[in-house]
Amino acid sequence: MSLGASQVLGPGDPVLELPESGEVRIGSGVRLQDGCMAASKAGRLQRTNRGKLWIKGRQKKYIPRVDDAVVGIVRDRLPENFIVDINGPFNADLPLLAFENVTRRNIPALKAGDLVYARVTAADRDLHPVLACTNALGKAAGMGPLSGGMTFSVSSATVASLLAVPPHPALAALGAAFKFEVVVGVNGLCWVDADKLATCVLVANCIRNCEDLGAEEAGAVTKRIVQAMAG
Amino acid sequence: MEYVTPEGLRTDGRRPRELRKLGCQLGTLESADGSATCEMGFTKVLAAVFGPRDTAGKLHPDRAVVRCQVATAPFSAGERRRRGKRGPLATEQAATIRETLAENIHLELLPRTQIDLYFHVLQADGGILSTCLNAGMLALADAGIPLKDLVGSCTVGYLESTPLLDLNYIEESGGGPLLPMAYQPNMDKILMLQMDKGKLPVETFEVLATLATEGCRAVTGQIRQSLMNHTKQLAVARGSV
Amino acid sequence: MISAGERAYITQCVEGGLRGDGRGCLDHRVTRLDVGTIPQANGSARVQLGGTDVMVGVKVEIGAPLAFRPDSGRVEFNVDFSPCGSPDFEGKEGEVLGADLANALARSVVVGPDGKAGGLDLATLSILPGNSCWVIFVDALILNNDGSLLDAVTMAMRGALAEIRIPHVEITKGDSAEVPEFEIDNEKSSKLDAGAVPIIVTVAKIGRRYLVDLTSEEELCSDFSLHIAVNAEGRVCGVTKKGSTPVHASVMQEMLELAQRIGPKVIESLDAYIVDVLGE
Repeated sequence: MSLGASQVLGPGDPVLELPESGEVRIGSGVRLQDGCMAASKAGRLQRTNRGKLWIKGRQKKYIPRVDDAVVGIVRDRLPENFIVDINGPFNADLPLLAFENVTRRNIPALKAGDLVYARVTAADRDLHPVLACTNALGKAAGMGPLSGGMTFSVSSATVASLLAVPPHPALAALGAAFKFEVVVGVNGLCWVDADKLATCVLVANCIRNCEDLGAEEAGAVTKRIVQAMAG
Repeated sequence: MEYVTPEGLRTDGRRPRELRKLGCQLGTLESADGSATCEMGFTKVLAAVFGPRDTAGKLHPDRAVVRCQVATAPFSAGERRRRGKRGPLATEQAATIRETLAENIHLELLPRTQIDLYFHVLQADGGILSTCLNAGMLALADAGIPLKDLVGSCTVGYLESTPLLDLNYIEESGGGPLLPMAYQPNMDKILMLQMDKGKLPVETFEVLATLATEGCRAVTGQIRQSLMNHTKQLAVARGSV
Repeated sequence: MISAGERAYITQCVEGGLRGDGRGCLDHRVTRLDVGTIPQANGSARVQLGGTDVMVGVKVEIGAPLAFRPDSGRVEFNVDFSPCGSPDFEGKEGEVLGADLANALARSVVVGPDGKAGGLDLATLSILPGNSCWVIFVDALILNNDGSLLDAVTMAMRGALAEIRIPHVEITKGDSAEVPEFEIDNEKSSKLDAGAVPIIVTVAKIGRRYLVDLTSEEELCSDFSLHIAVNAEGRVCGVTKKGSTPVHASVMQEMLELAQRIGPKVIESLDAYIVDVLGE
């Protein structure tokens, strides 16, 4: 028995019976239980291009995965690394030297409460996640400390739609009218900066609206707001 | 005091094997990682989940640690009372709730973390343990914590030689035995069964256990419906239909 | 806990008359009021003031009057921080914070030196002077703290008190008997006259601006604030100062005047909604 993709399931619902032989690929939200694949959380069943079954649900805590780009809040500094809160079950470690062109002499002066944009380099279940402010080639690629601006949170589902290509209608509408810089962390924490504080506030609120509206509707609402502001 | 009239009606007009109205809402609290409100008749409980999170407390290397606390609002009972959070009944209930719900979580997927379950009883009219379990189950699902199955709970009792399903406060005070049960529908397993206050012949016990299982199946059906409706709403809001 | 960057951001925004969510300095957040959330209580309401979430349940029972006010009823306040709001509220912490709020409520909302309550005529709650009276228990539950708790609690209290009906009491055995007996008639009950009960408007100062309805982040950026109890007529019924920064009298005066302007408007919109919901 197999289910069509995008069916809504609850914990314990059967997803797939194990075939006699062969390979079955499962992802997050699906577990082997009593000889059957069962959902372990509520959400929509998804099937990737390579046939992997997983459940897409909404949750507030971020579960780190390697190569995710996240926005974190520095909590502390230890001799070898910064401790960064990425809204997951554990705080992450950001090695002091994991920045582009950095030596022991010019480590970024990050204090508790500062923001960083970093990439997850290790996310083992049994260890604290590890971050780096460089890409695989050792370049910053836009990552590093974020100063000024303001932060706000959105849920993981909204993040997915904001990071999608083509750009989210709301972001497109805002980008057409204002000049600003926005960073959307996969962990739900976002950062926005602009010349005028009013612009930051506007962008943050428009993006927060996307939480409860579908992409199309959010785009339309944002366009109206932008027109009202410009007029 | 007559608990069941000759026509077979209870103090609140129900039939002996009739459940009270069950109401569930998810995501009722903003700062909790998962939350839910559950109502069984007039009993109303708010549940909140914080976690999985890292804490300075005692953690286990192979699995998550679950903690549970039950608080009662002063206006919850007929008589206004400032009951402390640590009364003996509250502690025992919290322990049962913790063990039952923890058993349904894939704890091994979240080593060295802590999951905090908090309950606040807003209105008390019997079946508090069951309502807490139902609310807690939904709050855990709302938090996206990996679960083995759904859990549904209800309480049965035995008064005037009649098995009764889902007792209210008056019936619970009637002096008869109380059997709260928690049930996992997909796995068809009884997760928790207790008997308080009284002795029963084995045949009667079996009748009650069967009634409790049926009641729990009905409860899990409604819980599942609420959970699906809530999830669908989110999915629609996300733009994926 | 707030970082220097966030503090700077909020302060700069406020300088320009703007707040993080786009509000003006004197605007309230979107407020949601639900009346009658606890049917078994005599009166109840839940208020969501932005992220702040509070529930108030009111129970009315017969008790003994205070020794120095034998011919009056009583009002008792209690505030609990539910652990459902945050793990920080577990155990004693929540109780200590709650006690402070309960005291602020009692000071602002109840009895003045002339025996008249800040809005409630407690004399009407007396049953048998020196022996029995109605006691109104106001229990507040903080479900989430995002600032302006007293504001939210008094709004919810207004909703809850509007639901209250005081049963009619007939004294069957009066002063001659050792233990008086009453007959309580729930059918012949009367509404509690709570129209004059004040609400609390918290006014704070950040930089040179005055703000109303602060989020918990904004509260961390302000030097001090005043919890001002104002009634529907714009009269100040009580003031509690929060924060140890000394304040110039003229500043306090300006804040009081602000509260006196804003309070009645808030009460008006609350009452309009309550009347709508309760259908009276």
